[in-house]
Amino acid sequence: MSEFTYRLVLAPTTRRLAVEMGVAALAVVLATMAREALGPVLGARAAFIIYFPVILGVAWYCSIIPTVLSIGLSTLLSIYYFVAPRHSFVIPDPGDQIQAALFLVVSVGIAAGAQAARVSRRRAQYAEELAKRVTDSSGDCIKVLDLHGRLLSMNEGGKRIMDVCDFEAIRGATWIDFWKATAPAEARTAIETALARGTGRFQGLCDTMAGVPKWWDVVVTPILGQDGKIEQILSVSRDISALKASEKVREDHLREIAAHRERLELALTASRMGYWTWDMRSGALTWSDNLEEIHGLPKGSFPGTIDGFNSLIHPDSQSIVREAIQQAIETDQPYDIEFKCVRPDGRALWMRGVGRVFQGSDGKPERMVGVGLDITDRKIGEESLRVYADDLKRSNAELEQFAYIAAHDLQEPVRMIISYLQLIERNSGSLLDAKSKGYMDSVTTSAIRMRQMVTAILEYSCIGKEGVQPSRVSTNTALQAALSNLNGQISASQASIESSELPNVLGIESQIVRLFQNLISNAIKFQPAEPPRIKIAAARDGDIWDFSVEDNGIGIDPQHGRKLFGIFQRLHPKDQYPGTGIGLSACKKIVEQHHGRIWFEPREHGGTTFRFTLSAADG
Amino acid sequence: MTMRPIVLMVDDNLGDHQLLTLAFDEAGIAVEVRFATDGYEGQKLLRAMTDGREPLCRLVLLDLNMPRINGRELLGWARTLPALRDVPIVVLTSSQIRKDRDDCLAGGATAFQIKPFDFNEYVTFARSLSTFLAG
Repeated sequence: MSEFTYRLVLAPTTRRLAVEMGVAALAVVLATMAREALGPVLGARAAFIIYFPVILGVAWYCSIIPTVLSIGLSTLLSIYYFVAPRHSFVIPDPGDQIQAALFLVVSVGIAAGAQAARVSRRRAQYAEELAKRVTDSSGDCIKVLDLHGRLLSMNEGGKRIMDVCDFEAIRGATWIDFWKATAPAEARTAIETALARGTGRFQGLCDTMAGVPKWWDVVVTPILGQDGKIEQILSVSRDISALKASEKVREDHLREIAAHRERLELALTASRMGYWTWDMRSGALTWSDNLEEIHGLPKGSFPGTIDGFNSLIHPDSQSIVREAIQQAIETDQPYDIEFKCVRPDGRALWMRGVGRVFQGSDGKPERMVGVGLDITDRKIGEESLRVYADDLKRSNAELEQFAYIAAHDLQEPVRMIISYLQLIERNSGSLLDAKSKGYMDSVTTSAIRMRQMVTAILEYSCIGKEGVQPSRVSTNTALQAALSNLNGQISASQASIESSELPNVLGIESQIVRLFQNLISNAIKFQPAEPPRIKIAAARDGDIWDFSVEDNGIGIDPQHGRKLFGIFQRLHPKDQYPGTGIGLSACKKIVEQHHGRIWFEPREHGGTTFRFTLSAADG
Repeated sequence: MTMRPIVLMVDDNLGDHQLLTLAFDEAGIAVEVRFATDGYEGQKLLRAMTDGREPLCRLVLLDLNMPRINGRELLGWARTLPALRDVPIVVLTSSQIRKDRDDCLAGGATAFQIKPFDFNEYVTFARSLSTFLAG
């Protein structure tokens, strides 16, 4: 006995059983009362017949216990009330005994038959209900079509997802018409396939009744009758909009990635850069396409191994690359190197390589990823720049040497000219007329000026040739030395000179004295009527000291800028402000020897501030 | 006639010979100035003086940059001669390089003097030499 039959026949719910029992008892009692009423007509005949319909009815609708109850109760009541002697359960007459036995047998037979019928009837009913429940609870849209493709029914779930409020409005509509706009051919083919006993399937876009477009995965199959003929068509549509949406997102992503990649490749190619991945376990070295082009290799000829790469590196750079990789593996730090490569066509190739190691899940180096950048042009540029700079340095040095030798050798004739002019003056001065004396003075003045210039060039050339190593220099002391050298000039001009406490710097003392001396001397010299006021200060800026020498002099037009520090550069006629025009260029040379900078700034209310930097000497 | 002290000037610049002579005159210092026109000539003359073939000078004024044998070489050689041990050698040069000065003083020069810029300075210089010539 199946579970279904057991529940139905033997074990309905308690509540239902109680109802069934009540109904069965009531029916028997009512039949008994009816028989009693018919007593005057029937007499003692047909004592049992009236109970058959009752038993049949109870057995038809109720489970087995009420059925048994109705049979038992009918038997007892009929014997008690209608079999002689009445009002007794005794059946003395053998004919009555046979009748009673017959009644029992027939009753049981009727009950059994009715119960069996009930089981099969309920089974069919249940199956149908189940089928409907199943289809209704399905999330798919399940439709039954007739052989002309007209809509016969739709499950509840389908109505939900298709936003169908009133199915009657669309009953009988042609199913293919729903696909008219988006997939008419696919829908027609699916129906035809089903009619040919196949499974038609397609995906398409169809609006719901509320006008929401949805993507559907549609399966169309025939519904076969018991005779094997196609009776109807089943269409099951599944809403795949979410899937389609995520597919679209994915496609969009892929497209975006592809676009990024294209742009990246373009940028890499334009900047002559390629990327690579080295699988350190398999040894495979994967290159981006443009690396082959950069290395001058035919397309596809790179063997994809580390050895293949090593063979492209110039012998001079082999160790650089090897050590960089080694270090990247050991320290887990990225490397950034420049190395030289060999191109098959013999052209120079300089590469910049940047890469780092990535570890596997076991913590061991797994792969290395990096980029290679063609820096040949830059390297060639740097090289020619270096050669140019060397040439310039050499020619500057030669020029300086030449200036030194020339100035040195010019000293002798100048000394002689001046000395002999003096001798002529001593011996024959009285013989000269006023005109000739004037000429003599002019010659002497020129010779003295020449001597000054020669001396200045010599001094300028000697800056940096002292052969003295830089050491800690107190700029306080250096300033005092400079002031004492300028004693005459200072007292003559009544200059006031203030300075804050000055720091120690790293440098060459004699040069720093000269630096102060030249700047202060300039500040005194380029002064209009009033006495010069000069302020000297220093401010710390990281590792350097920033010195300032401030004056209230005639000021400098900023447009003179760099010209000011040029050798023999004069901004004023020498009869107005005497000098060789070498003082500031000497300052510039001294500051540059000390790896500093010198410049000037005009002061707001006239005057100039000269600034220069020197390295701090701490400790 | 008293013997005037002898001053030996080794210098390839003939102008200096004349200026020195005139400067001694101007300063009123009585000396006999002898000249050698380069280091080689100077060496010859000094050898003659130390050999006794010539009277020994009281003072040597030595230029540095000269043809054949230069002042540094002559100074080095002269300081090996015992006979010149007590003769002051004053380097008189237009070189202002500090290293030259240091080298010469270390190499036995008695003094290092940058050549006078004009005649007046020459006279002053000549006067300053009188301490070497006394006695």
